[in-house]
Amino acid sequence: MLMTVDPTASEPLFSQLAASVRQSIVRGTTRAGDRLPAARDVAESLDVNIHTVLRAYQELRDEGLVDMRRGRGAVVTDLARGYSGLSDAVGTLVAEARRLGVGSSTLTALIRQEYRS
Amino acid sequence: MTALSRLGIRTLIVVLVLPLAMVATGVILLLSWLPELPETVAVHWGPNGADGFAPAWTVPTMLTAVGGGIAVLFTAVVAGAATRRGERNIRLLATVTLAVVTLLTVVLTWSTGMQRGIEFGDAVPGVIGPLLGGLVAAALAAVVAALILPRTIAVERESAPAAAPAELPATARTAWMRTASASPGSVVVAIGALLLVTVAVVAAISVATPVVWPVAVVPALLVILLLFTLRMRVRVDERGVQVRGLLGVPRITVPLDRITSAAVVDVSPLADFGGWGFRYAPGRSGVVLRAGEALEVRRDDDSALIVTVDDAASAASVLAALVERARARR
Repeated sequence: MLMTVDPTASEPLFSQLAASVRQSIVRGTTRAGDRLPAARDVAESLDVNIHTVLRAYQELRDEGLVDMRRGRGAVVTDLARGYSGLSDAVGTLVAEARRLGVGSSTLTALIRQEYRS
Repeated sequence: MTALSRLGIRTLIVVLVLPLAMVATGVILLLSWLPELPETVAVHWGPNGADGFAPAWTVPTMLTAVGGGIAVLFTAVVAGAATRRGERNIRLLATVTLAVVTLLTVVLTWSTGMQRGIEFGDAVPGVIGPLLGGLVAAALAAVVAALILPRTIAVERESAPAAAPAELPATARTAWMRTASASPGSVVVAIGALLLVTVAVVAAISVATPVVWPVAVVPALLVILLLFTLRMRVRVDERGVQVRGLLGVPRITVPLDRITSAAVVDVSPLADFGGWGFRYAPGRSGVVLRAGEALEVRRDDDSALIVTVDDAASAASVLAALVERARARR
């Protein structure tokens, strides 16, 4: 699982971490039943506070994407199965945008707009 | 056949021709002795002399099956290694094949041959002579193999291309983590073997007099070894690469400033490393839990650490990016 945080970005660290996990699930490299890395290891590797990592995991739990169990850590739930479809859809979307010569900033702007409506 | 032809005639002689010739000689001798042998010969010896018997014809049959089987199997393994990157293991594998087949042939042929002319039920001579003879012959065979084998076995070394660095924002902190696991099949085999050993040990403890409690150490050690090696945590971050067991040990660390590049390679445990687990070969070490894709971490002293882990492509590209960034900062 690829975890990235950018301390200079405006987005809070914990939501950047949660986004990393989501991305990994959408890309299909992390699947239902996989265990997320131990919060302590992530905190150590990325030089962030362990509570930041735990908060990210909690956010994912609130979404139903992971299950937190004592002694077992954070495990990706069956909900992750539906996410691979999203990955395919994004692939199609970007391919279509490329065909039309629409750049990534325009496409992201369109996506943001769609979210607001 | 292309794999076989790539091996070269000298390697083929050591791993296939000589072992088969050895087995054939033994089988011919044994068959020619059949009329002189008792119908039932001793095939197993314990501390108090012969304690296992079988019909005489089973000895040449077994020599053909086991000796011939080893030669053919290891020729296939060596041929497989030659198509990959396991050239360092080829010399060893070929030498061991010839030595083992020699040992087997000499021990079976000698221990059976010495029973010519005796009747079933008579005292059977001890097996020390054939065993020592077999070991000496095996050592000689190893020397012969070393003389015949080319010093360096040239195989087409397909060095995997170094991974292209992933795009990381200059200010981002990035880490890649994953648990590497043994394949489900090998876990089943390992647990099965463990159960078998445990049953054998329990039986030994309950039957043997005097009580042999110390053998309980064997399954205990196996459990610990399995805990150490069935799953490993792999971590790539700004500090470098770390592989460690679920209990925190054993632990292998490669600091980032000693890493030159990373690549994705395909590992065949037997051909590339001669087995599973923690493997060492000159110039490279491996944490080999299964066959298939693996992360190769190349160090500045030209040695490499190879870890079988899923999604190795991500690991390699992240590592390449981290190495590149660290270099730019220096």
